[in-house]
Amino acid sequence: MNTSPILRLVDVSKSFGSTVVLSGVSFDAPLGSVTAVLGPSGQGKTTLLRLVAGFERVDAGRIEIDGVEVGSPRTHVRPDRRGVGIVPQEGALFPHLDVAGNVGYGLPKGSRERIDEMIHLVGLSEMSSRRPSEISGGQQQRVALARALAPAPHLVLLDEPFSALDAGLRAGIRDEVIGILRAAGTTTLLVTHDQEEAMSIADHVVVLLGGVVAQQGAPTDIYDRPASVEVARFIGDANLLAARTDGNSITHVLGRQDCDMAAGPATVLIRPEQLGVSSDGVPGVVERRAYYGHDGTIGVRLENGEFVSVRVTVADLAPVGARVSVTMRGRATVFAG
Amino acid sequence: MTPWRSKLPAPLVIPAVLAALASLAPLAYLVDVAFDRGASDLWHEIWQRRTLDLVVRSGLLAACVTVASVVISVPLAWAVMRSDLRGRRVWRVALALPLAIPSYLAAFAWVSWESSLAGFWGAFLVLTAVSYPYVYLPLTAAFGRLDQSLDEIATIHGKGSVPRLVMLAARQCRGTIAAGSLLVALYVLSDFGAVATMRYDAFTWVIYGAYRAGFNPTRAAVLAVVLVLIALVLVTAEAVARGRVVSTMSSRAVARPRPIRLRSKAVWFQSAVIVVTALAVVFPVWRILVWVSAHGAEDGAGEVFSALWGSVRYSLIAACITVLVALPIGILVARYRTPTSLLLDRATYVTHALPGIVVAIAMVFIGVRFLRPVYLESPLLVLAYVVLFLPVAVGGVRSSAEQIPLGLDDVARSLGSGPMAVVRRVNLPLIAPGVASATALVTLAAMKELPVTMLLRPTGTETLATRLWTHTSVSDYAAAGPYALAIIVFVAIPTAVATLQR
Repeated sequence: MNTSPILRLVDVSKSFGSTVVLSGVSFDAPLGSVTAVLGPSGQGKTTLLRLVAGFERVDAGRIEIDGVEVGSPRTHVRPDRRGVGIVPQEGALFPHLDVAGNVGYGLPKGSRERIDEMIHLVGLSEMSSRRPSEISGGQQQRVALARALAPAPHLVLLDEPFSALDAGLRAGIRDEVIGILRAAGTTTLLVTHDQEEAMSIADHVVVLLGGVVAQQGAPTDIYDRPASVEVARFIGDANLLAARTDGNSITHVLGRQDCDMAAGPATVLIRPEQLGVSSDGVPGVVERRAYYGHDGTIGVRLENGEFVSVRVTVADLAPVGARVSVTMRGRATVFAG
Repeated sequence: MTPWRSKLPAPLVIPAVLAALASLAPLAYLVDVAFDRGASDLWHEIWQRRTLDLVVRSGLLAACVTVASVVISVPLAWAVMRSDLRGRRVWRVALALPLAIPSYLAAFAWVSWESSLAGFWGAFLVLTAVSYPYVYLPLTAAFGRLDQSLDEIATIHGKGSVPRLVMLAARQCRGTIAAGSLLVALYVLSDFGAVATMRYDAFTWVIYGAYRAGFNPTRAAVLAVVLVLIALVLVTAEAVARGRVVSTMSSRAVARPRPIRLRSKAVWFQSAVIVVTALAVVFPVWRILVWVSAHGAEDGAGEVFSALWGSVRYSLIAACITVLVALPIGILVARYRTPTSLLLDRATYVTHALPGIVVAIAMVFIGVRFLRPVYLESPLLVLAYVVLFLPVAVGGVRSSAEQIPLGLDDVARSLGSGPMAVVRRVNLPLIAPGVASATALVTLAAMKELPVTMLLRPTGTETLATRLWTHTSVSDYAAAGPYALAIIVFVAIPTAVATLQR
């Protein structure tokens, strides 16, 4: 990944009327990488994708694909000339064409071999003359992928491609699709609101909150070192507790650690899996209880009135009303204020 | 959610704008003729006793027919949708059938049976019989969507008598009733066949008279413009009413309601359904069969077939051209939201307000003044049909184009197709069935059209409608019979089938 990025966004902004949807968005997607743009619904993710694909014009900043400026206030390369493949939310297969017709849509006439190759790649060789209505949702999604990959685009955009699938199928199809994309060496930009999905498949995660990039980096960086309380709260379950620093250390209800932040109030982030129940911790009462099969969480009201969520083994899954004591492992992430 | 695209492809815009302008040309020319002798003369022409009388007479007819249509439609639509009326599924369809019967055909059936019906009451009877489905049909759809929990609540509170439940349902569907009523009023004002056969001095018949008697073009044009203005008000009000209905309509699926038991009221509803169907459908068909069987075919089969061929030929050509012209407009309006496409939408909507007789008169003026070589030749007739039926065709193209997800266009663009390639490779194949059915509907509409055909048909050409009209207008009912029967077989029945399939 030492080459120049396939996709580069520099200070991209977009408004619809007086509504600012994106403001000053910058990131790179290196060759062959999987980049996830992660954010809640209505925070500009889809607009970002449409700007990259060329369906919308950029108000400010610029978009480069493979070193060529394709979108800026001055230039706008039409979507049909960008070499960007898209896999929309629900596949959006052409209902009047069969599987082979869909896959071959973007290819010149007589590309039968390439069509067969792509259909084989997504494992649907027996289905090539089926209509979209005659195949399952997961198969439709794979056809949409083959169709997007067939013209060998610089970049493939996935717009929440798995959210319409049944929960039971989602993970399997997701891994399969990402596997195909990685095997093909395609650069992928995935838009999703599902943080687990982004964390599990992307090399690089761009967190988009309120139209601005709140943080970007490797999934572990973002999970372990969120840049703000908002990011912490959005990525994974977060216990945010009041704390106080004295210039050398920080103290909160569950412990104390070194901290060189100036004296004053602060907030600490502790993940539920950093907490556990034992005999010598901070006492509290179980108010909520959730059982997940492999493990569970309990919500505990601590003696100082703060509420924390604790990930526990099934053996420690105490009933509501039980008195427990909570202990903490590792370091908390500290935010000023 | 996919936002709307904004940039319009020129290869669609240019033909669409030309078509919209061309369809507005007759109206523009009519206004020009009306102003021929200056605005004060125009005002004088409008502001006189006979014009005001005309407005009152037409208004009275439209008002009476509209009220009667609502009175018929509300209880019957309720009975076939919400109650346990015996045979309600069959009645539901039977009550919609009058929509397929041309007004002049129904008028012929009645006046040939009892000539004293001519005048207001005959026109009222016939127009009510053929136009109440404009209220009835949308109302059945609206009643079908109503939530039955309100009925249950009313019943629990002791307000569950049948008349109260009908009123409850009607109140919830006020918007649908309003929109349908305005369509009925528009139909009555635009209708030529029934008032002409019944010799009732409504707008269309008087305009025709002004045109015939000594060819007084200014007066015909002035009256036509006044009629169009009234029609525009109705069309606009209808659009507003329909917009409100759509915005308040819940999209959630409603469980099929349990039918409400009519008990002792059943006999009333059963009789009403039978009487309405008898008057609106059975009687006209029966009368025509009686004429044909009693008098045989005075005109030979050859003449009937040549009239049928005249109807089919021009209608089919006109339908193909109309739909072709409608394609760019329909696609633009359905798939792009820009000032231009909104304007195109409005323009075709205005042509909705043009009654057949107005288009006919305007095309006569244009033909005489500018298109002398094709006046009373087939191109001018086809052109007039195109103007008249463009809204129907645009509506058909538009509604099928609106069903294509916008995401398909985006995917096609990203796969290398330019805007026109998207239209050719994605949009057109997907709207093909809708386009075919629009062509069929326009063909049938043109086959039963009377005033334009009458005034503009090429010399020596006869169609079923013109033959029927000519014989009826001289009270030669026996000769008219076979043409009436042919219209039922070749126009009304296919129209009923096509309409009910949608």
